[in-house]
Amino acid sequence: MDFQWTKKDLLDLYDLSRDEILHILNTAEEFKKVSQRNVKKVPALRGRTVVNLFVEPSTRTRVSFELAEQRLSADIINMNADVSSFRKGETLLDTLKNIQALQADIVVIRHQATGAPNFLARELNMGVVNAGDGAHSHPTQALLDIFTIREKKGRIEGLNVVIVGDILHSRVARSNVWGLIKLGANVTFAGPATLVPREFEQIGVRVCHNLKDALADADVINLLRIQLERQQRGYFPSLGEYSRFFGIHPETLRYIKRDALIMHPGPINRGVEIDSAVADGPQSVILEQVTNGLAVRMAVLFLVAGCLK
Amino acid sequence: MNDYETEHETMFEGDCISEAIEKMSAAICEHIANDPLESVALIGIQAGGVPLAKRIARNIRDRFGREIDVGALDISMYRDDIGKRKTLPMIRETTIPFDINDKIIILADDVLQSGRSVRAALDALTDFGRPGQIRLAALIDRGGREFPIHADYVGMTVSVGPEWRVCMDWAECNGADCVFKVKKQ
Amino acid sequence: MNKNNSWILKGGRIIDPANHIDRNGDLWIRDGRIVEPGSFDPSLDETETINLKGLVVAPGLIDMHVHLRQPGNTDAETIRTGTMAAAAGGFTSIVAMPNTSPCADNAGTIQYIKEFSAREGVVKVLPSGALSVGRKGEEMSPVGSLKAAGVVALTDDGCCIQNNELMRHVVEYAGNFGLPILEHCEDRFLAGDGVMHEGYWSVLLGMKAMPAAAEEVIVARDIILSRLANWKIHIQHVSSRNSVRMIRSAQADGVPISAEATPHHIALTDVEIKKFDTNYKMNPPLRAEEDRMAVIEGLQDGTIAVIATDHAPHTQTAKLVEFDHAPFGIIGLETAVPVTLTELYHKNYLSLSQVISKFTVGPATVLGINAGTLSVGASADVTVIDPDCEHVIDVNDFYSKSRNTPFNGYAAKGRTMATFVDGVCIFSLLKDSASDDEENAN
Repeated sequence: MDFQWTKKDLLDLYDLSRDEILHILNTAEEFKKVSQRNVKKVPALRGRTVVNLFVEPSTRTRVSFELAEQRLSADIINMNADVSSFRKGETLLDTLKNIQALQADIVVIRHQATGAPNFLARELNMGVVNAGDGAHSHPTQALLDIFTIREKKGRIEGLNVVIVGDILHSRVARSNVWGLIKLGANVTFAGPATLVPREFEQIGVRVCHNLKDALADADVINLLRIQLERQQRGYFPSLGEYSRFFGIHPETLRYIKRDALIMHPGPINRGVEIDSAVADGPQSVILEQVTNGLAVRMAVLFLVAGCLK
Repeated sequence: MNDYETEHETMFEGDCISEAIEKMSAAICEHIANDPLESVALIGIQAGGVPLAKRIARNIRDRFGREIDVGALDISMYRDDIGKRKTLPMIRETTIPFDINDKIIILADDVLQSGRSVRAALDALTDFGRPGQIRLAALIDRGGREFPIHADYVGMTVSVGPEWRVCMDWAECNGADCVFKVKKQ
Repeated sequence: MNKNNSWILKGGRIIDPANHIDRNGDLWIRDGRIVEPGSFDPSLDETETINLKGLVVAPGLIDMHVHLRQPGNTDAETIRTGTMAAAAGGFTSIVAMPNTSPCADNAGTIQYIKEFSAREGVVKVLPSGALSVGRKGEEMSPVGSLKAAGVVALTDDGCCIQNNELMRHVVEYAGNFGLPILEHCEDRFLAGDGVMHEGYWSVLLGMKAMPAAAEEVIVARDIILSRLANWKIHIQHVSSRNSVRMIRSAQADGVPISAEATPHHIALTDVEIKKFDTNYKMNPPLRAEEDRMAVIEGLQDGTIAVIATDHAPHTQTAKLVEFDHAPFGIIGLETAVPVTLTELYHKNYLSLSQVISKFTVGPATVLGINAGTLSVGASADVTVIDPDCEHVIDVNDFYSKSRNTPFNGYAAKGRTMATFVDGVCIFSLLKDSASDDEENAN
């Protein structure tokens, strides 16, 4: 029997089995080919309506989802952070119920409140795709990261993957870790002690506060964006100090593996977590992540649409 | 396709299947005798049409001594029934490593019934380019058209009631060639 | 209709922890009081006799932590529906929290609550008054006039006085008037904008969290001030293992500190939050398994002498939002008995008598009220319990106006079967009694 995808929602990688994750990656491989053709469009979601609800603003992820939806021939409704109905006091649930009543099929949601997508998935018949909730989960980002690694390295199992930065506030880290562990990678979290909680050791992650130690055996290095407001709340003394002890510079390239991949979910803070030379260098796959993001999102929307009634 | 939990009956096995494929290949060869081989290509519709396309290509090579272009096309993204079926189709590989513009494309599928898969394949193909001609080779035509689709080359025609689904096992994938019918659930 | 409210409750297992009684026997009730068996002729007066074989007969249960929401937020609950829920849960006396609108920080609001309860309530409502004006923690409330108006205790529940000097004065002054202080322990700054317990799960889920330290810091403060002022402070809804430890040690030292725990802190932990179901969101939050076990140990060794529900009704609309935005609190009156019996008695942590003491002599002692016993002459507040009744909790059976509970669908063993207040049967699931159900009460 062919593997069957049975979920109407994609909320996080914690709930997905290894087979389900592999199925998404395999499906994404075929969708990547669509974007390499002349006619970059397939009618798979023709007649379906997808709502992009970005309560927490975003440009890159939203554009990526929009393009994926267009290439699947879906109809799109864009609702952004300044949605007027919220200002009038309408609850999130009511907003979505109204949209559901207009026969919209899928909602892609990014929200500051953790668990907002889970809450909607429970209450609505629409498919819910999580484009990032609070510091909790960003499944399509993790999937595209893993897709990129697999494409470049041929496998995930046994690879040493190091995620560097503000793990405490990172939904990218939290989603990546579940996907990587389920597919057999060795995961290390590296960063300042104030931003990398030891509790993650309980799920099998190595926690490291010294960058050189962390990166020595790394096959993949995934850099998280440092937000200025973290420095303002006292998690570390200055961006300069962060960059010096936890940033990736040309000197770093001298002691890491030659074929180690350098990844970043974007947008990059040039000069903070990564130097321009490295970001634009041969080991960087940052731009490929963007291309792969499109394929992964097309795959996710296609699979979720197939489970709607 | 291989659901053995319902009633299941073998219809054809072994040699008569190879013979049917040879018969189709002979008809194709005759038809394209006057066209340059480079202008013809076979594309198998995933999943059952792919082994068929490869076997026909082998027969053509044996007859003319030269390779013919072969590709594989998955039509899951072009189906008209996403969300209506109980199960989601699995997307298999699409590989068309040649330019289809102006070519004679022979689509191959193992079982032809409603014609909807072929319709989806036509849509998919036209997104890849503009073929000169598209023809259809179906190993088994079991009737029951819902669309005005007609096969140019047919291996065998069978007649079964609408409660049956006609399926095919290929030696390449399942160990032995076999045409069988299963009762729909 | 039973004119004299005369009852003979026959053959039940009478458990009266205050009087150290746990034996089979008959309980006689007349004119709203417990009387000596045989002290009147049942055939002369219209006496109702019911057979309670296999059931437990306990003093009417007391819940010293209930939010009735009225005045002000009657969408979620009213005095009428809240007291009906109490009766269905087996509670005959409840202490109403002062975070109403207007706040119960003045004699007028207390007066309103008392009058409304007398008219519309079906169980005894004991009002509490605020510690500080508006519960803002800036100015002492008019303690003396609150006492005169009839409050049984003082609390800022939901809020916590952060200024230690003000708290010291309040404790000393309340001591003058003999009013126990019920304290919701929370350091506002440490708690921040957390929505769950700070620990393994909050890190894994990426949620803003409140460390146990936010509770512990104030527990420590209160122990110190209780000792200093030599006056009773009762710690509400203890949730952290370190709080239990400190309270135990203070009690050993003779400090007049007491504590209560909620049924949900006894039954649940923070692992539930991964469902993002707001029915698991309350303050103090569900904590780790070690904290839950420490609370149970505290109940076992008497450090925690009271179980109270912190019944906090919220409308569906209010709770059906993103986890971060939902208000804290769950209802508890109608789930307390099934949950505590299942989690404590049937799991062999406490005996039946010990569980019942947490709802009777425990709270009565803290409040200093004459209740929670079956002594001859006491008000006939009686709760009949089937300790072995297996059933699944169904929110649709609730009398409360609200439905925000994590226990819908919970497989319980133990249930309130009947509730008597002043000798009137106001709630009954018993089959062979001509009981008034609450619709006909009064």
